[in-house]
Amino acid sequence: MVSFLLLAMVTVAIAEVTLAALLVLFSYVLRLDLTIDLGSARLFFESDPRAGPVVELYGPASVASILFCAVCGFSAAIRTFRLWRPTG
Amino acid sequence: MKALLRLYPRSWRKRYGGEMDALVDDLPGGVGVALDLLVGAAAAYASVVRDNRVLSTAAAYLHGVCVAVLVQAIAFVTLVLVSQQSQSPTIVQIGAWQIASVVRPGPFPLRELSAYVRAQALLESLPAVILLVLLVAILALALAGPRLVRRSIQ
Repeated sequence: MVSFLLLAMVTVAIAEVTLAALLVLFSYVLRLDLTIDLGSARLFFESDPRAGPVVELYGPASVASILFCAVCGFSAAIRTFRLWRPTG
Repeated sequence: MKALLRLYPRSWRKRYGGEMDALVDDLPGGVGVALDLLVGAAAAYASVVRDNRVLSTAAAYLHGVCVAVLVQAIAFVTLVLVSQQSQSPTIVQIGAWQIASVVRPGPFPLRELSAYVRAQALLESLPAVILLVLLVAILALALAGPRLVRRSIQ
């Protein structure tokens, strides 16, 4: 059970890193200045210092994102586990 | 071409490996056949996953997390798109918690700009619109994917 939970947490962590990478990619494509607040640390990506809009994601956004990923994953898993029937 | 048969699950190869070897020997080697074998391997794995309760649950968990990431990416692009339509800062807030803000540089409000500049602003939002459409299409595909795979197996 502990291994399953650890694996689930690692999956959410990988998903969050992927999401951050996607946001940086989108910031490059849309020429945005992106700041992500992670508690004491701050990630800053500057694509165009002259004209780009400044997008700032605060601490609660990171927490909400982690919770949303975990809730979506667990709800899908629980639904599948309960409704699973052997085929054939 | 026979090397592609190694991509199939072991249980499947034990059951159908011999027949498949003979079938691949008779078929002309080409890109179409290779693609068919690859799609067949994916469908065979999907069938193996579907027949196992724990694997099905794990796959559903991964699918749910992927959908969540896509939804958040769509929310981000939508926020940028909405902010591009107004010159005042866009702030997303839930109660006392500030989630996100977008501040757009520019000294004039949109309604005071000339038609040319307004058209230019619309043109500026085109990449965001294209990105949004692309992400929504990927999300639709991700949501319909399991059903399509189930149908292809049956």
